[in-house]
Parts: sequence; structure tokens; C-alpha cells
Amino acid sequence: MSLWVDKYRPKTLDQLLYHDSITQSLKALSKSGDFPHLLIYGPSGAGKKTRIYCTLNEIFGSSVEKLKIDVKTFVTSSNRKLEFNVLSSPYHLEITPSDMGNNDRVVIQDLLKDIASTEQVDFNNQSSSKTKHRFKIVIINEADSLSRDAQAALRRTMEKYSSNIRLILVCNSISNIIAPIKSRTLLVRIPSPSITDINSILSNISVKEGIKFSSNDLEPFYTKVSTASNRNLRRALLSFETLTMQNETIKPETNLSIINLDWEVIIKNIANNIKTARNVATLAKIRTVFYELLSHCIPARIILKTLLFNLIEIIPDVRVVQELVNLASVFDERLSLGQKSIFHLEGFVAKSMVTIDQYN
Amino acid sequence: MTTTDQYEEERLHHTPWVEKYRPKNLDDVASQEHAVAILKRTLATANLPHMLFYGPPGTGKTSTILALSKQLFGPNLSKSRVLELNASDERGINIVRSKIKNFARLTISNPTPEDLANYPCPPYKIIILDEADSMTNDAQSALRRTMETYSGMTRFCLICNYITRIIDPLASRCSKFRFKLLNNDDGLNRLKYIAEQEDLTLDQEEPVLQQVLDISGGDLRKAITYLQSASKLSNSYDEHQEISGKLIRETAGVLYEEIIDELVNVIKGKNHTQISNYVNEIILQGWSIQQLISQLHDKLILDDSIDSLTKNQIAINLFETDKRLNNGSDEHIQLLNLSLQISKVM
Amino acid sequence: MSKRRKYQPVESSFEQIDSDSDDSIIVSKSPSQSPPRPPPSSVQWIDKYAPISTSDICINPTKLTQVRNALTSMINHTSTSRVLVLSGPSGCSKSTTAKLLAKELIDSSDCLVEYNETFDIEDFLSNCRYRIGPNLAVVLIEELPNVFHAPTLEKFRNSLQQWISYDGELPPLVICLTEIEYGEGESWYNIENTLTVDTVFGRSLASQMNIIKFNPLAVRFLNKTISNIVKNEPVFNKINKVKLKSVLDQMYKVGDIRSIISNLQLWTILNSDTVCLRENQINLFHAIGKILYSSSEFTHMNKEDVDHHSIDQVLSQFQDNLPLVNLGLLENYHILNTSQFPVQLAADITNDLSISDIGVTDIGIRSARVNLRKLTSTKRQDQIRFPKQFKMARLARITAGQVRDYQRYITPRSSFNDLNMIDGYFLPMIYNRRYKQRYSYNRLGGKFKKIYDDEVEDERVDYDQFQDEIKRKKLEDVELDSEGELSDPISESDMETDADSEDGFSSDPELDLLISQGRI
Repeated sequence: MSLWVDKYRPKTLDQLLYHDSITQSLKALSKSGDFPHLLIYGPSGAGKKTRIYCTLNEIFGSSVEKLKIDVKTFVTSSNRKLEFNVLSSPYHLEITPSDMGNNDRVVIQDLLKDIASTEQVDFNNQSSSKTKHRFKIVIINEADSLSRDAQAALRRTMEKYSSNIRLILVCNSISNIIAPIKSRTLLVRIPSPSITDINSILSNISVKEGIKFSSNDLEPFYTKVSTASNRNLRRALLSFETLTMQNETIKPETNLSIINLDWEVIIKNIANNIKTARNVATLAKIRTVFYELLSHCIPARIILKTLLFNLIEIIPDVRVVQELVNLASVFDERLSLGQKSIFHLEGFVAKSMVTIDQYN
Repeated sequence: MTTTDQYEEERLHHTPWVEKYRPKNLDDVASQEHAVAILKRTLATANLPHMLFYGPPGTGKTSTILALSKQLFGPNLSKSRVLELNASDERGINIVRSKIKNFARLTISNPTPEDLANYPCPPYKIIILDEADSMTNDAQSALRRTMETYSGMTRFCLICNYITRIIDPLASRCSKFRFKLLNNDDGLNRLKYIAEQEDLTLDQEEPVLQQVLDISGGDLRKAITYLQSASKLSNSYDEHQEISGKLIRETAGVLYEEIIDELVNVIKGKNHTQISNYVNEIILQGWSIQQLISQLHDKLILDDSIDSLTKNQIAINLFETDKRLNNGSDEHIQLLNLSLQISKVM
Repeated sequence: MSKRRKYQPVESSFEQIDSDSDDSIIVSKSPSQSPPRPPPSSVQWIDKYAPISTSDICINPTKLTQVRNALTSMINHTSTSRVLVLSGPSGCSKSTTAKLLAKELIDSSDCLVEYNETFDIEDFLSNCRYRIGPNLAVVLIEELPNVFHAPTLEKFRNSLQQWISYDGELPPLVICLTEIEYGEGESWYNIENTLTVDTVFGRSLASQMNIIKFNPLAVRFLNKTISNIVKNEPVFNKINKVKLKSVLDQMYKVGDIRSIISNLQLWTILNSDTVCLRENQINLFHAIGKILYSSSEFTHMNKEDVDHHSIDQVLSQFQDNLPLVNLGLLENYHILNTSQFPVQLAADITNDLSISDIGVTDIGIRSARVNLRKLTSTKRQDQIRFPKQFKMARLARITAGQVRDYQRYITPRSSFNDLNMIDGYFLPMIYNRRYKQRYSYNRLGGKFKKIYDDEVEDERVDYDQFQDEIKRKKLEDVELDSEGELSDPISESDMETDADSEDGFSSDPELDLLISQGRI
């Protein structure tokens, strides 16, 4: 029995429930026979990947769902072996360059060259085949984390192999994508679904799954779930399923604290600690908690951001808010420039304590 | 139809308009009268110096040198006489040096009588180094010697956006040509020409082409690319859709004016909860914050109701935020900070 | 890493090295076998005056007796323990004692089997089991396997445990452990910051061994050996006795016989006033102490000069490894005055440490000292602790590995961050309810746990169905592979070694420093 997030995932463009105009465009493009390179961007949980697979389905048929995963190895110049996963169907490949570290340029170049040369042969052999598309799609996840080198190389590759490879770059933000790539791809922005969008999806599922509720006024309940998920559909679905698992009948007015993620709760506690006990001993305690979060691979940037938003929520003084956000923006930059995030996290906390003290 | 034909057809189909509509000769180059005039004179004498083209992107630098070499050698001979290198492609010293050396060392191919009749065919080769400002200083110094060694039969043309990033010894060996930002009419004419050639259906209600040009900030290459993307999107619909300003903006990743206006309003409102909420909304919409900042900059700096001291402070904040974003920091935090800081000074 | 200290001249500029003196074979020459000695001027004193019998060893005789008794009882199988550990600082004659005693107690030219790093420890030990009866030999482990690598360490411990619980006769096993400690106290260290009996063997294993602790050599034993050299080397005739004595006094402080002899020879050749002693490295904990409290060496100076000198001393030693000192400072600045000081000070220090991390500068170190000077009382409660960064990094690798495996084998379409941050939390709650098998799924990537720096082991993994599913899928994949035409067991094992090097800290400059520090 699969998770709802998988069970109710649309498989074709027609099943998509929101962002109709984007769906229209994708449909039109996949029919046109002149499928461009795409740059798909938007916040996480907005449905980027779902839309991509729906589009692939539209172009190639349902066999794109038959995925297999290969582990490719790559030997770097310093003779270190690198492994990365390649997810593929007969018509497409999917890679995540962050697996490749600094070698992303070489790895991607090699991989694409490989595909381009083998596909050429395949097409020649099956010239009578029914498939009208003679290209293979390569999905590159987290394209915004590609090094500039790799991006520059991609730009060349795009031109070189344009006859038999189409790229779909996926990222959260296009700010880190170099201009030549932006100008060689069709930009498709996928915004997060609105609260209403998510609510209607949740309510559909409730009906289909026969979920029992103790009251009929469900809209506020759905809204709570959607908002707590920050309009991340994946998260909303998972938290909704978790809630329904806890009780036979859901009481919409009950405490929904279970849908707060464990690490978010930990960070919230840090914020409360900062507010109530601004001293050096607290700093030392918080440091240990930071290490705890980092050791669980919670990115430092997300820790900082979540902490900031928790702080400004519990300390409403506008001067403090301004200062805290400013501090966060400074230490956030240092997270990018520096090596060890613990310095910047603790720096932010210490400075925040001083700031709060100042206006108290 | 054979497979190869099909490929050829597809390849043509995928040719970016930027390539398709590159000026064929110097006269076609838009807006750069000064540079063109001088180059035409060198065409007459067929005596070319080393050249350094600099100026903002999309002003015709590459087009000019390509047109010039075509006029010098004709289409056939160009292949063996012109080497186009993209410095940012492979920027290591060794690659630049060995590629250039190998090409420079080749003996000059002989023009056919036919070429000789139609083109000047001077006895040298041209090496075009695009994006030369992204070459490391080492590579540039190495280039200096290479230039001297092979200057007998090779002319270099360096192309860059920022002349300050070219080391002095290199710059001093070249004749410098500054390419200025395209004037509006020239750009518009070029876009009109392309729109006609491609048979585009434009929204008649608004000056779409002017908007394209505005969004690309005078960068003709960008403008043409946006136009092509928009046309691709509109073409793919069954019932041909008109190309509208909104479509252009979406394909260019440019934020709608309403969003910028609303943001400015909220900032002026000085309510930090509202600011925070609206910033969150923009983030969830997936917009590029770097793009937003440049649009916000245009909006606020041109706003006459703001005094210059305030504008000054706003500009500093914009600069700081842009720098931090360039360093890869978090868009949400940075935009929130920027909005709060601006609301503080306004 | 754990390279045995070679009997080589300390300075490579030493010109008259003969090729045969550049040899890594240690001692164990019996008088009859000793090769013809090269002309005196070119031989290393360290070889020339190497002890030939146990009575020559530069060691406290009672210690020698203690080791001899322990070894004898192991040979006679009257001992309660099967492993003898000689621990202590470097250059205190641990291995020399073991080797010469082996020769003394076992009448055979083949009286010693030595482990070296390239052997597989398990194979080595099981092969050694047969060195009993007529083949009797002392099994000596002087070089340790790579104990900084967790799986290797575990294997090492397991092999030792097997040895100890082996049902049958065994030859005596002697392990020489050069201890490296970065501070005092017992409660806070682990294998990443110290090499001691406890961190290498673990407490339960250590309790089953006979451990004899060696101290730095005392002056009177050193003097005996050195006087002998001074008497026999003509070069000393020309040297002023007073000067010699002052040099020797300086050297004796180190308590490392190898270092002293090498340096003495070098000194006579250079005949200068400076002595190239084994540098008394200040270790990380001392360095941090010097920044936190300022150095006590400079008490006669005024405050600012004290700070200045303390900082310089640390910088001169840790120039290449400021990030480690910075991490140490961050971990410990709060212990001053039992954390009773203004947050403003802490903010200034951490802010400057944060700036230090952006570019490598000493601003963090200087700021910490200057700011902490403002505290009048330096009363402290806690001990200086080792930064948790490394432990964190190791745990993060474990978590990342688990999540990656889940991604690879179970849900290839999910992104790493989604799995770790969202699904990892919800899935166990959904599955545990759904299958009515409560608590059999754990949080993906492991529970959130406080990181204690004094944990040596105890990372016991609870039963987790996720791991179970991954394993099952892995097995299926392997079966699928073997059905296919090409299954390549070699690449499999290659992958493993690669994962190993991922886990080891071999590429971490900070760890490298710690290791090199300990080995000097």
C-alpha cells in the first residue's frame, strides 16, 4: 500500500489539478514536435517533478514510469572514485549533480556525450519506429547548485547535441543560473499551490479514502494543514496522512502539533530559549543543539532561516525584527563564504541576544 | 526522406534566431557606426591590426567580427582562416595556448581563384577570442607572447564586456573598439524585421516589441532570444496564440509590474508583518529575487517622489543585497531584509 | 599515519649518512650477528649505542622487572591475561624492552613476530596462534592498524577479543601503545582526540589486559646511557664540560631517549649553541588554554604583553591550522567564570570567530583573548573540551548514508532533503500505525540525538525496519545482478574501500594535524 503522496500523484497532464495555464503550455509543447530545453523553477513541493513526469508521459507514453536506477562510478583526476545515481527509463535519464561535487562539469559532459553518441546509433537502427521524437530527455535536478564551469559546459552541450538530447533543468531559483543558459532554455515557473488548491486536494482525498471527521466544517482544518506545510504539497499530504493515521475519527479542532517536523520543533525551542534566557550558558547549550541538527544533515542555511522566522514571530517589536533580519542576512552570507557553519550559527544567536537585550 | 536530411532539417529548425539573423556584412550591424566605419576602411586596405572589442552584451561585437571575416575571406575560406574560441569554455592556460598555437602554426591555406576574385583574401588568419575577460591573468600573459610570435600571419580579435579585466600589456597591443549600447530605434527595427520574417502574431494592443527591448535592457541578443522563446510557446498551441507582453515576461523570468508595485506599496506601509507576508508570497511564487531587485531598483530610483538622500540609502541596500545574493545566500532572508531596510529609510 | 618512528637522523641536512644507516630495522641485533660497523664518524649513535641486552636499556630497573615477570608468566601460561600492553609516551623504550626481553626469555633466533600496518590484523593474529611450543615467539604489535577508521578499529578490537577468549594455548602478545594525550582528565576524550589504552581498546577490552604504563625517562637513567656515549665518543674531549652539562640538562627535560641521542650527535657536529630539541609542541588543549587564560609563562610582563606573547606562541604553532584552534575556542570560551559574563562579550568573540572562518585570519584568536581579558575572575568549572565538529561530521555521514540508501533502494524519485527533512519524520508515524507494528520504524537517518563528546562507543543502533527493507532490496539487487551476465565481485569490494576512505579522516587537515602531533 503506497503513500497518498504517491497514490494520488497525477500521472498525466490531464490529471493535474492546479496551475492550468502551465499545464496548457506543457501540453502544447509536448505535442508540437519541437520540444525545447526547459528550465523549470519554483519552490519545493510546488509540483515541478510531477509536472515533468506528466509531460514525459504525454510525449513518450506511460513507459517513462518504468524507472530503473543505475549507480555510475567516475574516477576523478585525483584518482578518487565517485558514485552517483542515474535514474532512467527508456526515454529519459535523471541526475542530481550535487552527488558529484566539484567534478560536475566533467561528469555531466561525459554522460551527455555518451547518451548523444549511443542514441544516434539507436535512432538510425529504428528509423521505422513509431516514436516521432528522436531525442532523449535528460533531467538535471538542483541545477542551481551546478558550478559555473558546469553551467558553461552545459551551454555548449545544449547546442552540440540539440538534435538528440533535450535538457530539463530543475531548480528552486534561477538566480544562480548563468544568463546563457537562461537564454537557451524555455523558462517555466511553477509557483507553490495556493491554500485553496491544497485544501481541495485534501478534501478530495478525504472523500476517496472515507476519512471520518467529528465535525463538518473542515475548511479551517485543511487550511491549518496547508499553512503549517508552508504550501508544500508533498508535506501537506504526508502530514495529512499522518494525522488520519493517529485516530479513527479526526477532530479538526484538536491540537495538530504532530504535523510540526521534529527538527522544526527543536529550532523553535532554541528560539524560545533565546527569548527567555539570554546568557552565555544558553549559548553553550544551543551550540550543542546546533551540532545535533547538523549531524542530522539539516542544512545550516535552513536552521538559520527557521530560527529567524521563529524569533520574529515571538518577538513582535519592529525594531528588533528589523535588526534580527539584518543580522540573519549578514550571517547567512557568511554561511556561503565560510567553511564551518557552527561559527556563523552561534554568531547569529549571540548577536541576536544582544539585540533583544538592547530594546528590552 | 533520409535520416540525415531529417537531422539537417531539425538542426535548421533549432538554429537560434540569434544565429539565423546575424548580420551578413558590416553594413547590417546596427548602431555601431563608428566602429563599422573604421573597420570598413581596414577592409579596403585588407590590413588588419589586432583588435579588442569591448562593450555591453548583445551590442554586436561577435556579429561584427564574424561579418568582417566573411567579407575578408568569403564563406569557404573563412573555415580555414578563422578560429573562434570561447575563452570561458576551456580557460586553462594550456588549452588556450595549445589550441591557439596549433591554429596559428598552420600554414595559410590558399584561396581558390574564385574567392580571390570576390574577396580581398589577405594572407593572414584571424583568431577570435570571445569572452576574453574571463581568461585568467596567467592565460592572458601567455597570450601576449603567442600574439607576438605569430603576429606575422595571425590577427587576434579579443572580445569582452569589461576592458578593465584585460591586462594592460595585452590591451596595449590591440586597437580598441568600444561598442555602445544599441539605440532604441535600431534595435526596434531589427526586431520588427525578424518578426516579419518569422511571421509572428503580436498582440496589437500593446507595443510588444518595445517591451521586449525594454526587458532586455538594450541587449539585442537577449531580445531576440526572448522573442523566439515566446513565439515557440505561442506556436505550440493549437490555435495560434498572440505574443503578449505577459508571455514575454514569463519567458524572460521577469516579474509582472503589479508585483513590484504592490511590494513598493507594502514597503511604504511599514507594517513588518505585512511586509513579511508579501515577501513570503513572492518567494512561494518562485520568482527570481535577483531579477526582482533589478526591477525594484529601476522602479525606486526613477521614482521622483523620493528624495535623493533616501534614494542613496536605498541604492546602498540594493547593492548589499545583490552582492549577498551573488555570494549564494538565501533569497527569502535577503529579500525580507532588503524590504525592511528600505521601509526603514522611506 | 602511524608510522613507526625510525632511527634516522632528525635533520635531513645531515650529510654523511651512509646508505646502510638509513635503515628502518630496529635494534634486535644480537652481538654475534651485528654487522661490521662502518667508520665511527658516519654511524648513527642511536644505532651504535643501541642496547644489546636488557641491562643496557635506559629504563627504571623495577619497570624492567615488572615487564619481565609479566612476559615470563605469559610464556609459562601462568598469567591471567593473554595480552600485555606497554603504554607510555614516545621514546621511553617500550618496544626496545619488549624486543630484548623476547630474546632473553626465548632461546631462538626467531623469537619475535612483528605486526605491520599492511597486514590484515585478523589474519595476522590467527596465523600467530601457532607460534607456541617449539615455534614459540613473542607477538609484538607496535604499529597499530588505522584505529582512526571506525570499522578498522572495530575489527582490531574484535580480533583482540577473539584472541583473549581463544580456547587453547597462545603465544604472548605484546602491544606497544604510544599514548598521545591532549589534556588531563578522563571523562571527555575519545579516539579522535587522544590515543590511550581506553580509547584504542575500549574499557571492557582494556580490563582483560595486563597494562604496564611507562613514564618519560627519568634523568638518572638517561644520564647513565648518555654518560656512556660521552665517555666513548672522542668528540666530547674538545667540548667544554660546563656547556655540555647545560645542553644535556635542557635535553633531559624531554625524556625521550631517541630524541636526545639524535640531537646530541647533531649538536656535536654543528657545534653550535642552539639545540634542535624535539620540539615540545604545545597541544591543542594547551593552545586553547593559553588563549582563554593567557599563558602563565609570561607573568612578569604587563597584561598586554602577556596577551601578545600568548597569542604569538599559539599562532606560531598553529599557523596552518587556525580553523582547529577557532573551533576549540568556540567550544570552550564559555567555560570562563562559569559562564557568568555579559553576552556582549560572547557576541564579540563569536562574531570575530565567524569572520575568521570566512578568510583564514587570526582575528578570532586575538579577539577571544582581548575580550576574555576583560573578565576579572577566571574561575572555571568545566574542562577544556575537544570541538564536536568531527563527531558531528561523522554522524552526519552516517545519517546521509542511511538516507541515500533509502533513496537509492526504496524511493529513487524523492530528493535527499525531502527524505531527510519531511518524509523521514512522517513515514515512521504512518507505517508504524498502518502495520500495527509499533516502533519498528525509526526516524529515517536516525533519531535526533545530543552529541556528547565523551562517548567512546555506544552508538548502538536500534532495530529499524527501514534498514531492514533497504537490506532486503540490496540483496534482491545483488541477486538480479548475478542472474545477469556480468556480476563483478571486484568492483563490489572496490566500492567498499572507497566508502571506507570516505569515512576515514585521511583528507581532513585538522585530523592530520592531530595525528602528526601525536607522532612527534
